[in-house]
Amino acid sequence: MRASTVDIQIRDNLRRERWSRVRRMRLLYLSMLPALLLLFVFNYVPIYGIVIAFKNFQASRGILGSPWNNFENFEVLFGSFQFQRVMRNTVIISVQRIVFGFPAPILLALIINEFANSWWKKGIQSITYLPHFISWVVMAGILVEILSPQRGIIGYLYTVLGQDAPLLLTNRSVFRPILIATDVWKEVGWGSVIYLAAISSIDPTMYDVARIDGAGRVRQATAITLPSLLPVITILFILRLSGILNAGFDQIFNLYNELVYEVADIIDTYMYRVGILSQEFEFATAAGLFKNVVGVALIVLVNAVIRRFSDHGIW
Amino acid sequence: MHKRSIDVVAVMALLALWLVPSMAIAEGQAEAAADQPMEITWQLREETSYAAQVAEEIFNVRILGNGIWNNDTEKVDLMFAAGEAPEVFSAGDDQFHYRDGLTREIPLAMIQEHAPLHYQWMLDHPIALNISKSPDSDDAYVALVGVTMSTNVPLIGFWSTRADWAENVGHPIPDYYETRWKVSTETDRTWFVPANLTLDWMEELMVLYRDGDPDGNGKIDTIPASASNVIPWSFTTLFGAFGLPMYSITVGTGGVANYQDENGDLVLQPVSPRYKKLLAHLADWYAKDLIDKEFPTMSRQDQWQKDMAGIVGVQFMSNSTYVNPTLERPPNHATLEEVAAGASVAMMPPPIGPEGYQGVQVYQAHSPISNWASLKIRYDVSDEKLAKILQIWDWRQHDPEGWMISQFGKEGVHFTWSGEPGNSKPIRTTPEELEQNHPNEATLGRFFHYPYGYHMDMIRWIYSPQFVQIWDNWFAPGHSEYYHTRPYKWDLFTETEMKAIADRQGEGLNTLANEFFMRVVTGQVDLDAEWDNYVARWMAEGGEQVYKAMQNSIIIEALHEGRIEY
Repeated sequence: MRASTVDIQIRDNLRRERWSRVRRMRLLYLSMLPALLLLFVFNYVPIYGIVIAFKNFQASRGILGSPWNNFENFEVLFGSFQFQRVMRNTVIISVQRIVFGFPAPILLALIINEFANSWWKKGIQSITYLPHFISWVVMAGILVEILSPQRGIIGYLYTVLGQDAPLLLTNRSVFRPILIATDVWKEVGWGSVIYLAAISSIDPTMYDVARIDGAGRVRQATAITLPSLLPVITILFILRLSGILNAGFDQIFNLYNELVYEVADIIDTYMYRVGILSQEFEFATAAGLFKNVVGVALIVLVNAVIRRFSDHGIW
Repeated sequence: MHKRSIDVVAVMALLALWLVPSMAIAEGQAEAAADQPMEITWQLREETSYAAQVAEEIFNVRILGNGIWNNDTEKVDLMFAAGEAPEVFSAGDDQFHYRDGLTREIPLAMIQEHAPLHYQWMLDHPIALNISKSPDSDDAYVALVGVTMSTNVPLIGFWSTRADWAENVGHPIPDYYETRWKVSTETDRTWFVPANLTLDWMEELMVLYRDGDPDGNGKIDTIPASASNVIPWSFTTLFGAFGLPMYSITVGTGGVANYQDENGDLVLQPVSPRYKKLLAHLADWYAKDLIDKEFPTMSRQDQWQKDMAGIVGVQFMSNSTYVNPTLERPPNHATLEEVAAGASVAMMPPPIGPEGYQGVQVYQAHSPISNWASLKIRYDVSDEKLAKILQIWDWRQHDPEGWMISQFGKEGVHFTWSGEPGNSKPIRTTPEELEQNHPNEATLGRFFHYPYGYHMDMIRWIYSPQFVQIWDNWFAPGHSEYYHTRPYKWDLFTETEMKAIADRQGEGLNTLANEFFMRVVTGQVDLDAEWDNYVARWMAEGGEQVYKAMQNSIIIEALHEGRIEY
């Protein structure tokens, strides 16, 4: 069916209006340019380097000049006896981080929100998010000292009880719990900031109405606060799942040792040993590409599932 | 329209303001460049140094150091990962970099013309003629190799203990006061004691340290023996006590440690019966609390800090600073004076194992001349620049004046002779003294730290007269062969598939070996129950290929006798 003259006229008017709006706000659009440029240069330009995952990379011939190698890097990656182990550890540690680490900031935000005294509120908020700013290099050093059977407080407690202090960082059964617990402790405060911001935007009259209807504080939290947070929770959950194969390189690298490789060696630490220490950059890129493909697939899948059962999602 | 015209004019004016001076500057720079000394980017520990400045004057060049030291592995790795290798560098494997196209060939003719002293040295040491050869040409090399002085000096081969503690617990070192030799000028608390003691004797001592109060502070708070998670390094002398020629269980580009057994067969060390016995011994000592419980989580620096805190009784590999307190290694410049009043350390030859084995590997056990930290030239360096580099190399590596300047600097400024000038150890000026007395002089730095360029007579300039005396009497050629151990075979000239195997399967094999070592020693797995599984897995994951490659490698003993045999 051919578009009528009126339709064309309307379309032209809309287009003109759109460009007119852009012109009016050109300063705002221009101010976006540096950020877009930064994003393009650092996040999109390097993508072409992924090509070396399919090549025998030779520095002198450059990325494009190096010869193709018929997926040899992927063959070696999937054929390695370590691949199964690092995949298993990566998924387990990531899932544990989500199970324990994802709800913790929500819970903390709900608790902080219940404090009527603003000094308490701000004090607790500050104390809980400060550890986020300490790097894992420093934090690992502190943890090693705390957990040392010879010098640490844990060792001292065992000695007081008349027992030999165990070396916890070499114990496979407690290493993952240590990882998760310290990660939750370090990040819970920082993670709660976004939820607190979302809570502050909830219409206070809803709470007034709930109180008149006789709802207690728990009921208000479950009936008003949590449902209001649901869109934010959903989006953050989807984004979190996309990084399921990012199991926390900084933390593990600074804490692990050969005795806990079995439960702690993840894709990133494996990539570091093979890629950086052995200078097999193309192999490390292949492993990284695999990780990212899984991440993208997960984000698409989870978004689709959530869209099917709710109105929320990231697109 | 009028406004748009003004905009265009303004933009053009701005461009012109920027472009015209830039073009003028560029033109001026081009003219000046013709008179400028040639610039060479170089992998050096400091961006500049006194020796580099002297070399710049002599050879009319400008040497631009990148501040990256070979031992700073993370920086080195990132340097390559970022594609920022300088024109001259020593990190990494020469054949690997040449194969990857990062480096260029060094024609023999150019070495003969521009580095005649180095060429003469190659003729004097025929191994150097065959090592690091280009795979593409018979008359070219892919790197310039050096010589590791300590190859023939088992400096690292001592085990040591606190002699004062040994007396306190009633287990003194035999003839300690009668036979001890002072090790260092800087301290009178470190002694070499030529006592050949057994592992049983060592164990008795460690048990007394564990159960007694060796430091006399009324508490049981000492550690019988220290170690770190740098596995081979910590247990260096113990490997030799079990007949293992190298303190290593990892696969590298030249191969894996190996020995020839009683039947004449090649045996790979990480899966050998002798290694199994070492593991059993270490597991027994760990279970008895004789080895520091924390060692699996400790770096070498952590171990040294404990050593120097005065709470450790035995080191299976002596702390380097005991031998040479001026070594710039962690804990930097720490001496026994800082440990405890009255502390003294006895360093002894490698211990004797249960089956009578004794000895220790020294640096680069396979050959005194090696491609370790060899000097590589980037692929885009011109012949003209290579000629300059070769001249500098010859001066630094083989000319005694250049060598002295790069190692010790200017006499009276950076060092003073401890005894007879030219025939004693130069004592380095501390940075504080240099700043106070010679504020206008450049610091010494480490110009050409790698590869080593020692000639054997230069030992007199490196170590104290006391240590040289010990060396002459106990470890010099003619005395020391008894203590030396070398692998049976090694792919010294990169003639086998070893390099490719190490690249692709090395990390996996090394992870297997390191994990097994740690788990057995700390008692997490039963050695006898798991040994066969470990061996089978190691061989299946690449060990079989390693074995074939090592079989095709040269016999090291024959090489040292001047023959090439496989």
